[in-house]
Amino acid sequence: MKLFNHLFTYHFKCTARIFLPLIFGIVLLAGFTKGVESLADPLPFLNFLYAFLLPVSILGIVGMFLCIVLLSIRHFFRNMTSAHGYFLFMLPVKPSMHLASHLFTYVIWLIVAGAAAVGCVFLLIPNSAYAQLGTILDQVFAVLQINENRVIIILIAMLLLSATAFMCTIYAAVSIGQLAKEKRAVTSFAAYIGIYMIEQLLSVCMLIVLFLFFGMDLFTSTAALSENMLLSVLIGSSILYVLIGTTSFFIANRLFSKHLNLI
Amino acid sequence: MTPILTCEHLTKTYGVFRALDDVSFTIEPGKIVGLLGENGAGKSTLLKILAGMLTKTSGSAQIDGNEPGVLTKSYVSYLPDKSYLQEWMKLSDLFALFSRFFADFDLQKAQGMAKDLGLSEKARLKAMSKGMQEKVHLILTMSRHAKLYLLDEPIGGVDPAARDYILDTILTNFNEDASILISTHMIADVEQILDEAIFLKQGKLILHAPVDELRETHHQSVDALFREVYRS
Repeated sequence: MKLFNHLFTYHFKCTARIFLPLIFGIVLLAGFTKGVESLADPLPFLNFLYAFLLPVSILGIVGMFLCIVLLSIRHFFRNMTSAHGYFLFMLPVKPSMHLASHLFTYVIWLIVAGAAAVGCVFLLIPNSAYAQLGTILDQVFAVLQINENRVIIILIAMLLLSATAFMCTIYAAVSIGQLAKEKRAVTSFAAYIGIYMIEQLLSVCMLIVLFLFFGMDLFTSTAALSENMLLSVLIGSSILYVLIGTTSFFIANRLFSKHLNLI
Repeated sequence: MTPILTCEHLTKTYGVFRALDDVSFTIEPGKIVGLLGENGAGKSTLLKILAGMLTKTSGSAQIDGNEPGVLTKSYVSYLPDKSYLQEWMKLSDLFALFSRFFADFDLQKAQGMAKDLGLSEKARLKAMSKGMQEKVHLILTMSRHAKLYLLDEPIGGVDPAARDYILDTILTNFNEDASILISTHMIADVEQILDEAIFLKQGKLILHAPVDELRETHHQSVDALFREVYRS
């Protein structure tokens, strides 16, 4: 546990140098956009600036998540297959702990970025829409006939599980890629494509089973979305992501433990 | 005395290419052994297997009775032949990092060596010259109270003055109950500190003997013997 904490601290510090300024910058941009919107009333010429800043802020939020995912992959790839791997693999620590510490760091950053994104979205909502927001959301959930609290919680859990499973798949792909002597990035990418195709096949099979269970005709009817059906899809997807993530983690651990090939 | 390192029929292949081919030898505690060979002889491959950075294809390697793994990493100190640390880190960060992860890391010793070299603990690795970075790597490696030190080309790519310092550091700072396995092709520089020499050629072990015995038998230095062996 102590070594895991040290590893997590190490990875967190390595990534915080880039992620903290990035997240802070996006929040600052959202705050600035809000400021411009507030000032646009007495100063109408600021509406043009606001019209430019709003989409940029939204793109910035999306870009922030993209950066976190891509740079986390890059951090893992460099740590486990390049010269930086010599430091990690000389530690008296099992490969599973290396994988777990990378994954934990990534999930923490996703949660931090998620919280920042939620904050930014609330900042970016136009002042005039705040009062109506609650009403709009209530109407949406009433039409869909779903209990929003349960669905939101499961949706967030599913998104996190999905992101975690995705990263575990990357770890498995990189563990396959490191077996190659050359062009490891290309081999890792090819391995990921292969694993992804298998995952998609499993996902489709799961959805077909679920829809058949609910008696829906997939091709001709447009059935109303019921809460139970939505929950089943979310829960079913979550279980699938847990299975994919666990299997991928096992593959990566096995390959890094038994077939480590640091060049 | 129980050997600190035993390799038996150790082999590493990459497809049809045999990087190590049926290598067998033992090293007793307290010895400084030179792992000598031309480029591509298999020196780095052998050290990486012993350090747990590569998995062997067949054969066995035992360090103090254990196969390379999590346990051996706690008493084997490995110096790779390339820079492996995050360059944005300060020297103090690196010392703290090694202190946290390695129970046998001697912080005071490391700080003393850094002071002797005139290195500020606030200096970042990226601000240092290549030679200074090599010395930092060596300080981190030799500041551990390990049973076995694996040094891969510790004097490669540095100036002669730095080489002398590195060799002096190795001699004065290693635990006398421990053993050192140094890989190099700059034999003339390391010969004076070696107890034994292992010659590798195209993955095979062709010679393993005490250095004094080699000099007496062949009536020449190990460096001259090396040139003779690898010329043929």
